[in-house]
Amino acid sequence: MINHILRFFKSVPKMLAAGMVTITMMSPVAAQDSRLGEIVKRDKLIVATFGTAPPFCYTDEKGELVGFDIDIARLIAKSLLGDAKKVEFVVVNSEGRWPAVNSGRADIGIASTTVYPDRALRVAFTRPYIDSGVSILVRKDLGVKSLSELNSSKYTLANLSNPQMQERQKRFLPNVKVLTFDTPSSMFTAVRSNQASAMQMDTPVVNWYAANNSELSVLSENLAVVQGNAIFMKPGDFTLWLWMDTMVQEMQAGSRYSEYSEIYKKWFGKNPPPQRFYK
Amino acid sequence: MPFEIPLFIRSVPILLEGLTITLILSILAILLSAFWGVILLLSMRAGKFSNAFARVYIEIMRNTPIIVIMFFMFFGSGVIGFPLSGFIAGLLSLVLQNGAYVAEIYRAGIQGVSNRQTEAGLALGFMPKRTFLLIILPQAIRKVIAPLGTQGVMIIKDTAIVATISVAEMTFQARLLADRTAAVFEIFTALAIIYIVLTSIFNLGIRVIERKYGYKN
Amino acid sequence: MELIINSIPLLFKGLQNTIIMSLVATLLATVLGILFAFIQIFSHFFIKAVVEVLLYLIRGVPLLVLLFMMYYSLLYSGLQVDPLIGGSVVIGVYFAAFMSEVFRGGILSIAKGQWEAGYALGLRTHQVVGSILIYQALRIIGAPFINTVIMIIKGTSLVAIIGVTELTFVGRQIVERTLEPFLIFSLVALIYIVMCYSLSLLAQHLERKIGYVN
Repeated sequence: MINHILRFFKSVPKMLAAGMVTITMMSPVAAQDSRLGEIVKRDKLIVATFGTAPPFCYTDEKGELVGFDIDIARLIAKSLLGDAKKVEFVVVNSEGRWPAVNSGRADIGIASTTVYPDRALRVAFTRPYIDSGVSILVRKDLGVKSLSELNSSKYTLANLSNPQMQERQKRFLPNVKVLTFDTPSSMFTAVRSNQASAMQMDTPVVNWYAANNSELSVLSENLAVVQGNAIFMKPGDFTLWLWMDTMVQEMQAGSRYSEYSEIYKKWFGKNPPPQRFYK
Repeated sequence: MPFEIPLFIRSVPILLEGLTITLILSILAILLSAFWGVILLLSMRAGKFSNAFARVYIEIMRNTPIIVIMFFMFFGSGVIGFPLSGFIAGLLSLVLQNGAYVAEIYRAGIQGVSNRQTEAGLALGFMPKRTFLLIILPQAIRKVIAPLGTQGVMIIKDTAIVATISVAEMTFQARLLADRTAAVFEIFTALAIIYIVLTSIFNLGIRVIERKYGYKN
Repeated sequence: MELIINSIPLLFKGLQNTIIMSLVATLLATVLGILFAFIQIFSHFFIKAVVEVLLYLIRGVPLLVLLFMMYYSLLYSGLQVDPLIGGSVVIGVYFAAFMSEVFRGGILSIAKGQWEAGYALGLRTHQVVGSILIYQALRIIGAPFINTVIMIIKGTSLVAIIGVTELTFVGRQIVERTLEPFLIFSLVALIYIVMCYSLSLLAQHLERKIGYVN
């Protein structure tokens, strides 16, 4: 009997803890404090993006910001606020995308950004909205057909200034000379102007460059497994994250699939991965 | 947001990896511009045509931003089939532009030497060329140490711009580090301090030279 | 060639931004420069020392590094400032350090006797400055002032690195699209040269007409 009572008392702290957790979870997780509420109130979505990463987000000859990511952002704005024009884009560079969302300057970032665990330490990613990977764009006139051929100090690789690129280069192409730039378009200019022999970049980007330039081709070997590009935002705001993630799910396999397919076909010339097709 | 000292201290060695390139680029650019400026100066004194060419060259170089010259050299060299490395393109741009400035400094220094010195030299029987080399030039050089020093400081600071054409000097390292960590404020403050130390050392050197060889009015 | 004709409207848009930035930066640099010059000449020891150290530090750092610091600080603090304005402000502050030297030279070059003569004639301070000194000072500072403005215009080309669509950035974009670096960058250089050389001709003209050689 005494043992019974003693055991009860030992479990009190545990019960108190469980009780407190339940209570905090039950109280409405201040949806009014979420960024999502702000976006709706302001009636405009602010998106951080790049201006130099075709075909995801770049400026065309008329100086307008266009691209797959731009169209996706407009689709999101349409679904959230009812109007695809209610988006304001904040153009940043590679290092600038993280503070752009973390400081509150932008609500979310859609910027050709691949998901990596170390990046997930700083920002919150939704599920990927498009598959990616890393491929190598190479000049046809060099006659290089494989990674092992490219891996020699005769050739120069153009990198972007982020750490993942450097690690991949060290792992797969340790012998090449390296040039580092801060935008994909300067990497591309370097390859075209013969300053570099090849560049590594997201697969859709590489494919797009190769499709539009006959003197460049894509190596068949990829530098990475299939990866994903995702929307990122400041961590800690569950309500916003949940909405965005739901939106991506709907785009890829749900109610917004037809709009998503249109955008996908417009920029990549083929259909996106299909929805479930059973009836 | 709080300024974190440990991050600040840890970024310094990484930035210093770029210091070697910064130093080599600066020293080469300073020496080569000094030399190229002399050649420009001599061509200005050598005759009407070469003077005209030199003047046009100098005005073009003085009125174009250095970054435009660097992009021109870097991307242009690739397109014509002889790609220059970022280092060489940057060095070339720095020398081409600063040579023009230096030539102007030399010219101002020479003009500043009183006409009487030339007259005196000719009166003493020196040939015009020898008057120039033995009497005017030494005085002129001593006069222009200070402006040359200022120009040298500008060269050191302009080496930061080669980061945009992929040369791994200090500013380049700072940007890479900034992409990896979020400690941008600490990194760039450390970078600024290193530059200040660099330019201060150079300024001190100039002042020492000026004290030894300078022209006391 | 038609590439040139097609590029000109885009370059023109970039040029507009370059001019706006140069004007804002020049205004800021002039105001701050005069302020710093006065502090350096007339102030108490401590304020003077602080300002002189500050100016020395600003002059010792590359403009590009200052621009990066500003850009990242803006991003991290979440302020809604356009990098165009931020860039102009940084350039303005940077060249204020140079402008203060220009104005200092101008003010100091006026012989002390002029002040005394003005007071002896019974004029108040602001009348002395306004009627006597200012014309003498302007003759000295005219040329170096314009030279600093030329440096400011060239300095705006660096904001291309932080993504502001000024002349150099637009040029770079066009080259990335068309791969004609010689043609396009020469065109860009030509525009800068026309702007800056005209200013430098103005400076030479001023120096000849009203310049004052000690």
